[in-house]
Amino acid sequence: MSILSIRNYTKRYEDFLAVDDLSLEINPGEIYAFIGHNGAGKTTTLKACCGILDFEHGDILIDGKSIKKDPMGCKRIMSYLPDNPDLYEVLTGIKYLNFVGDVYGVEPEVRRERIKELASKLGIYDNLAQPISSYSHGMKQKLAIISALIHKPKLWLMDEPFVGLDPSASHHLKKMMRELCDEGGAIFFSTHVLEVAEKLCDKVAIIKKGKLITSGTMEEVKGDTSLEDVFLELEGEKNND
Amino acid sequence: MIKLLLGIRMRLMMSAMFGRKKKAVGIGLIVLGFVFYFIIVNGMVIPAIAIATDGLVQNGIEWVIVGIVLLAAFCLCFIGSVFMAYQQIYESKDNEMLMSMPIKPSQILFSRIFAIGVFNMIYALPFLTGTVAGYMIGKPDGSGFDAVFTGLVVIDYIGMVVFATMITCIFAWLLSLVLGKIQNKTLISTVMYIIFFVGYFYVIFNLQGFGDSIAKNGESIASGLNTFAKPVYFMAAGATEHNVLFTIAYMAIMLVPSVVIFWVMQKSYINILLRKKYTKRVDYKDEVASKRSVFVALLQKEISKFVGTPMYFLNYGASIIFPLLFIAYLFIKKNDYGSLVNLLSVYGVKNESALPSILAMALYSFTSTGSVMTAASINLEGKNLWILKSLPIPTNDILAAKAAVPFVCLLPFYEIFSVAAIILFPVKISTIFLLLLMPIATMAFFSQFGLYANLKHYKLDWISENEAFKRAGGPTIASLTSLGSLIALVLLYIFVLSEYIDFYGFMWIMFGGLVLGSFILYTLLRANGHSLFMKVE
Repeated sequence: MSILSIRNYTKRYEDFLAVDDLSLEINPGEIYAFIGHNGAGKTTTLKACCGILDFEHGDILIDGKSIKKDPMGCKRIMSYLPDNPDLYEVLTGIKYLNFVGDVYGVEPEVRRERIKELASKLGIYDNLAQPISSYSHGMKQKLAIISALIHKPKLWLMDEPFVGLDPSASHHLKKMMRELCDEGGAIFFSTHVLEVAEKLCDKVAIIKKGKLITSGTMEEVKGDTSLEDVFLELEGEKNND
Repeated sequence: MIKLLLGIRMRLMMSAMFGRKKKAVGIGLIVLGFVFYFIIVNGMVIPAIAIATDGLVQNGIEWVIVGIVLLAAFCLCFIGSVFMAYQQIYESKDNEMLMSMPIKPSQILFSRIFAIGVFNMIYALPFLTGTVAGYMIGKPDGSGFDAVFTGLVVIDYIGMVVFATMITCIFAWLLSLVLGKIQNKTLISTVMYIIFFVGYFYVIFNLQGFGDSIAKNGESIASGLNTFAKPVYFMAAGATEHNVLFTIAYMAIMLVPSVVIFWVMQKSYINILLRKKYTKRVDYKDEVASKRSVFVALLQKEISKFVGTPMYFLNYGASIIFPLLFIAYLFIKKNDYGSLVNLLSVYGVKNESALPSILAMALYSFTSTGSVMTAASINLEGKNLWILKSLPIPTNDILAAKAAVPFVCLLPFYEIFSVAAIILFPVKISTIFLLLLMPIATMAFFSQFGLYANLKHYKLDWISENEAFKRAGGPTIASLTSLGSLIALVLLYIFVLSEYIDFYGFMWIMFGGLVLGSFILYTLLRANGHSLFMKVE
């Protein structure tokens, strides 16, 4: 059974059709990239998958559960990392992590070990007692990553996760992504960094103006060319050079 | 460039008030609220000026009352605006973006000060209209509309607003210098706020004496103002005596320091914006945290938000400062409430026996004012809203935690006020229960009402935090409802029900109404809260 099943998802904002009849399946163990031009519908799709955005047409199933009918059941086994993680600035890093840990019901001792492991790898362990208001963008991104992994989700949704991360943190994030999938989880993330998507991902979907253009394994989609060439050709940019 | 910046600030103000979607009902309610405020203040100012003018004109010193009312407008513009001005000028989220553009810092600063000035201009407008109308009504010669007086008072008013705005801004500048070096901004802001308002209360509680002095000692007051507050004399006498030279002198006295203040502020503006905020380094101790339920975790997060946001805390936390100061005053003056009765005599209070009922309504007023802090709680999520929406938290828990914050942070203080009132004034057992239960019922109604108002009228795209609770639709509707309900209930009792039931009987009816209203709101939130919350984006 797929971990994430998007079925005929359509999102309309008044007169504007943001996403049109999108269908995708993501299986356990897969890192799935979602690429498209700015305003293509990537963030809209990701937000709908994690229950932030309501929608009228289609359905989204997380491990067989409908996000519409059982949003709590879905949210308990997944996590979301937005492109610009605005966090509670009045809290310290550790207070924010404990807040998220309490929501997911992670036992304190387990939580402590996870936080120690992840914060040390990402290099913000010593800053956990500082207020989030004093964090740089990259530190906030790292804190948001830790909060997303604290309960070991089955499905991890991410919107441009590599923006703002230093090379070391990017390296650790890629390792964490691979580890999560090796343990049976799945990742669905949007990115503009096509080289990373090419090296890291098992599958890719390309969206343009709300419609799915192509999807499949990396080999199926890019063949002998690069993902950048495929993307530009599908976007109609390559012939304009 | 200045026109562009001013246009943006005005649009932001309108957006803060009416929201992006500009719903007709929301706009209608806010406009109604402004009209209501306008009528109430004019209702107080016009009779006061008319009566005083009639008495003072015989001695040729009617300018005294005009000066005092415009001075009151000055105080209104100044008091309570310093912290807002600080937020608007120094804490706006678009400061860095604007500074990275080819825009002079002085232009950015001017656009922000201008917006504060426009806000002051609108806020104190009833004082201008009340002054003009009251003076013309009060003049014994019955000469009616005086165009020259009106024109000169309008000029005086503009000068007064400009000066009040600049005084507010220079205090905001001083505040930025102090707070920049301090970690616990909420605590320091609260202490400064209390000091401010102790002074304010001192004036208020001696105002009656001052008012009596005006009536009896108009000439010595006039002499005092003429000697020690010359600008007030120039301002008011310029208008009443049609003396344009006085008006020019007054405007010079108002505008020259205003320009100097602006020069001082713009010199240090960039340095203040760019200075690194002080954060004391705290070493992280690896400890096992205690596990909390989802509701408790949410509630603690909400309380941290309330206590950790100075302006939010001051805006609603002031509703506990006033009653505590008031109670302290009552205990100090325990054996002699004569000055308090004198102060309240303008509202028809003749002796101390009315004080318990006044305290009870004051308790209702404080409780309702503080409880509507929930009307800003959705707004204040701002760009953090994704956290609550993406986590496995039932919407009812989210809303319950938001509604519970005033119960944890404010209710204990209102109950202290109730207990103090019970100690100070002998009341029946049933009244004791009423005074203890009333804050709970009031809070249950208004905290849910505020939350519902915010779910219907939200604003997430604020640039400075105080937009979320000072000029947004939800908080405005909730605050005006709280004030309006107080006035409506007082008028209902005084003019309709007082012949049939005693005051405490009326309060039991109020209590019943609040309990019923709370239940209705609870049901509405349980039924519609989730769908309303999902629409917030």
